[in-house]
Amino acid sequence: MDNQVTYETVVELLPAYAISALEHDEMLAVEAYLQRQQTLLSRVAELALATAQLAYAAPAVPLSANVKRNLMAQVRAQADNTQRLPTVARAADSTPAPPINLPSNPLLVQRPPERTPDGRQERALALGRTQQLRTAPRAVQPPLPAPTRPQKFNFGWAAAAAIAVAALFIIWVDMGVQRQVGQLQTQLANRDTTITELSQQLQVKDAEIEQNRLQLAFFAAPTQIVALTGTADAPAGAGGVFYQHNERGLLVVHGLAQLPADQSYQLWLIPPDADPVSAGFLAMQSTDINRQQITLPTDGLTYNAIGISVEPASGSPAPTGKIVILGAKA
Amino acid sequence: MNLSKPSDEELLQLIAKRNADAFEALYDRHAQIIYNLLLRIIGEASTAEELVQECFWQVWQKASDYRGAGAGAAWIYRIARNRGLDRLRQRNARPQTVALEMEEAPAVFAQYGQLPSVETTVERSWEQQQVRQSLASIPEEQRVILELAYFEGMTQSEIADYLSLPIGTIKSRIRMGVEKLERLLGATGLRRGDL
Repeated sequence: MDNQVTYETVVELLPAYAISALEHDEMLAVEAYLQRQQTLLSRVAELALATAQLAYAAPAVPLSANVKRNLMAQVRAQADNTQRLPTVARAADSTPAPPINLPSNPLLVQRPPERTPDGRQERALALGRTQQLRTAPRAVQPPLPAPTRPQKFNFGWAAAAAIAVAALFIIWVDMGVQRQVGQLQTQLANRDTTITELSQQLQVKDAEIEQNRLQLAFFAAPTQIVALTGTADAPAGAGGVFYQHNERGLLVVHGLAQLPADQSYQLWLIPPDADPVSAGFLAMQSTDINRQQITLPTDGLTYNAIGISVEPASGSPAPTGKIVILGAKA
Repeated sequence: MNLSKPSDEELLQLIAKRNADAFEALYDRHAQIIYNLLLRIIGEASTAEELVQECFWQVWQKASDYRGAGAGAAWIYRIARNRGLDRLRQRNARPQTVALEMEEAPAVFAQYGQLPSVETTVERSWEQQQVRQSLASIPEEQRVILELAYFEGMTQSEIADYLSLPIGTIKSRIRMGVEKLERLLGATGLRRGDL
């Protein structure tokens, strides 16, 4: 196909090329053409940037903080090594990938074979240790000197007996070591459980702090504040909107009654000479004070008041129910 | 170089010099989107997390390979997508198709998970919302095809077979869809470094 492609054909194929939807032969033909006509590379970059937006279309699911923790540990370890050894040539390409799904507890890294549920590996390891211990003394014992003359006492039997006693002693010691290993494993498992629980609690607290920080940012530096007051239908209602750059704000409302399930509070931006525009629903929280972020339209809509009305749960295109909160924008 | 908010390209230059702080900043900026992307492709959280690590590890190792042609984020997302699609092909299985869901990222962030700075969270969620709203305006017939190509790694002919549509229709819809995406990118006012 390479010989047949023209500039116009390649330009036409570039969108599919950017999203990798071309057939293999088409892909090769386009790439060969781009090698010759590099003026089109900037166009490819533009299209690649456009298609990258599709990543944002994927549903948002929270990513575990452990991923970052593990990755940054690897990265910082390598960065530190690089700094300590500045004269050593970096072999980045040959560096193996980091271990995946490292346990959060670094202690676990030190004892991977002992994590099997049925303990088979553990027993195998223990047996291996036993073998090592059993054979080690033999390895270090010097060879018995060859007798220079016949003796009546049988040293061979004596040595065998000594070895048997030593072996029994080693087995006894090994059993003690195994008991200690078991106890330590139990302690480690308990500690892991505690760490996991504490990590979960920490994540919850971190999330609460983050939410509070987010809202504090609105409170700390609002570019404008609109006071909201309750109408005759909700005299206890009050609140305000804390704006940031006229694009988003934090809505704070209290004193509103809980609504039945088939109704909701709907927020309205009220232009001076046009119908109110919906700005979403008020998410009622369990406490009396409701706080939520709102996004304001950036299409040039001018409005001079904000209101909240009672609407059906699915919302209304225009206010139909009682207005419970109103506030004038300066 | 604007140190208060370096661009992705500037961060990649620093990462090439083994700057772990720059790497962390880049991770905070893109990890969540990349995880969403990989989860959408693979459909399995543990594998997607694994691939996030592999993807960023590749960024750490290969940042010097980034030549500055095109946006840095597009380069990173391409690495992630290729890894996801490679793994998908290895498994020889397709994940369940998930409809485009415009979830509120800040609310999800607030529940648990990584917690970047307030500024980063607010800014990124705002930008993501802008892009998502723009994507929602692409005609369904084009968007479905773009999704099949992008998330499932299907070629034009595979999409034609899958949807029982003429290959010419698929080609024209892909072309129109991508060009529409390009126009939307300009309309949202996002900078190159935002993606």
